[in-house]
Amino acid sequence: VGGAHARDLEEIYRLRQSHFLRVAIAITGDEDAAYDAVQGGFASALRYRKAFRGEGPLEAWVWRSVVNEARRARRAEQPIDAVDVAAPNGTPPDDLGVRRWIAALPERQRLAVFLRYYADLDYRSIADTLDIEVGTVSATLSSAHATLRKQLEVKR
Amino acid sequence: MIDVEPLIRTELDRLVPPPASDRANWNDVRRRARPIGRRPLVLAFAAAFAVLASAAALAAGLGGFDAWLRGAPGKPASMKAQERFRASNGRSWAAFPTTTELRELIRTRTGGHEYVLYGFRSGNSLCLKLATSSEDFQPQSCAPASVLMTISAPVLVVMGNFTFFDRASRPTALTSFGIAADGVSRVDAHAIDGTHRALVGGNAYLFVQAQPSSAARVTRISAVGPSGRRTRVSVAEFGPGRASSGSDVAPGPTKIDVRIDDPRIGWYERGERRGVSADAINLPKRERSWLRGARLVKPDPFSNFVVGLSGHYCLVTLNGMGCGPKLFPRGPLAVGTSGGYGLEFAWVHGAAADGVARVVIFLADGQRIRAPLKRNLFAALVPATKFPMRVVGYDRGGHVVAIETGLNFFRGPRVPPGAKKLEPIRSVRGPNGSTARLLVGRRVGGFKCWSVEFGGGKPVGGCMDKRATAYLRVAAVRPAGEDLFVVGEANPAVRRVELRFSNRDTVVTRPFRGVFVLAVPRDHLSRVRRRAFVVTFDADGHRRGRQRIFFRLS
Repeated sequence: VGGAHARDLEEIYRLRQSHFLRVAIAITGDEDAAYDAVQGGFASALRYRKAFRGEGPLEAWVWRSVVNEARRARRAEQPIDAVDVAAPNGTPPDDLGVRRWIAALPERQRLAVFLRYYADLDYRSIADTLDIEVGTVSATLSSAHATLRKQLEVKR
Repeated sequence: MIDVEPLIRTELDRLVPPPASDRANWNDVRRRARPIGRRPLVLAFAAAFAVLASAAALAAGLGGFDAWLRGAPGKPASMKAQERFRASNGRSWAAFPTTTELRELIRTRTGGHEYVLYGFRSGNSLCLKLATSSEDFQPQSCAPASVLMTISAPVLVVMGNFTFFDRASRPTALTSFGIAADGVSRVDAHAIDGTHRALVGGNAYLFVQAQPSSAARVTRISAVGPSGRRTRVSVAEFGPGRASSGSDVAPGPTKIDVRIDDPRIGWYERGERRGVSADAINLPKRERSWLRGARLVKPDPFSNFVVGLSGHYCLVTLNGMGCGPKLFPRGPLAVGTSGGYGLEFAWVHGAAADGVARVVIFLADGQRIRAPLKRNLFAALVPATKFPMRVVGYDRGGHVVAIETGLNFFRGPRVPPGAKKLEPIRSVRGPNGSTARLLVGRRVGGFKCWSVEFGGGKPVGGCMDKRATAYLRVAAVRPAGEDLFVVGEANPAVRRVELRFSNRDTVVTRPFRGVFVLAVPRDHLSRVRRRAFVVTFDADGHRRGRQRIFFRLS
């Protein structure tokens, strides 16, 4: 028997909304667009909850919906190759350039980094969210780490 | 080899700090989840928090609120309305006592719908609720009765702005309501599009404007008191330099007299079942999920505000929850705020560790409010514009044992005075000869302020925070004479702004230092509300933003 319960979705929302919002801000670069993506992602999950087949954690299923909404919002607003690292919150300049390098990572690596560190998701959940294998998550994050490590070593 | 993980975490924290969870709104998710055809009324609250009394108001008459303090403003509500109110309170423990008497204050009909303003007193809470024939939801807002003891204006704004929307998200009515003293003969609502007379009756005022333009809002209320003198009360807005108490520092004690080591709540840690179980009370399902297992307390038994503890160090209210690795990470007080758009008063609530016998909230203007404290949980209704606040805990001996500051929740950032020096940039003439004059300042301390003057009436304006990244924000649809101007803010990436009408007529302009002003062409000027779209584009011609607006001449 498939399907998710509305109350379970609501509980995920209550407990984790700020995590979803943070990842969506990282993807869209815009808090309003991010908020819409989170609300829309959850709304979509709620509307199609009967389609959840229980093959992975429910939260990962919701993550996929929200991340897709956020990516759609970003595509609608900004060409992906014009990614800027402008911090949306007036943060101080980044001396080591880590934020710039994070923004310059390929999209999948960047999303994996966001999901790992902003959402604290495990590899299984990241894999379900991005619809890739667990091993690919591991390789993707390793690549991201390697890129950043290399940049830092050059910098130092 | 460098371990990049800690560095990534640090930099990501700087890139996107944890956002506030105050925008969480499950009801909005449920609304969006419904098929378009059956989408119910969409509610959007204009962000507005009232400054209770302007300097001018201080000269106004005193008193005149006896009817409210007795709990008997207006006339008794109809039996049917009273029964419905009693039944709704009886359904849930998280409600007002069933003995609370509902009073009818003002009844009016406008825009094809009936509006009834009700009021009631329960303990220290004076509450107003607006019922309309167009939808089930009834906006409600309360003020602490103690405010009436100190207020010098003859009116108290309780709901500064509330906008009703229809199923297609079109604003159907802009409303504002509050308490009026005996002898108030006239109340005016000063809105973006001009001054409108509000209804006065039953020791209350009610302003309803049907079919408002987009971004319509009330900015000020003025009242003529028994002495014939007019008093103005501001309705503040969110945003940089707004909703500010004018103070950066919360008053009150700054030094701890007696330290409570390892603050904790014994009964909670021992798992004792104090307070009320969320499972044992009849709350709607949507309010139950995150209250599962919580022990709830009503610090003020006459209010409808509930605060509780659940799970692993979670402080809960009916509006949401906050959890952490410890209940008291910063000291013997854990404090939260609970409010909403348009509500002039917010709840400051929290948990106090064993050893805290009294909790006092120091408001930015020097007022003190003692928060009812029961089973280590407290809650008090405070003016939302009196932040920053300081919450102080005292022990039985009157020693300060806890201080919690940084309660700045409803207050916009302070704008440096240099940012408010504006220079004229451009004038836009409407087809009927009215002129809008745009003035914009230089960016100072991350803020850039602007104003648009219309040769009469209050200018519209604001300050943009460099953190604002939205590509488009329509700030006002403002009539001037027989013309109508659309004013908004745009991201620096925006190079072109278009105002598109349904017949494909288009007006084009560009932002000047981030602000644009468009005049509505003569053919589209009407006293019947119409629709258009504002669309923004970047240098490469990519569309960056699009917003539907409704407009009409007043």
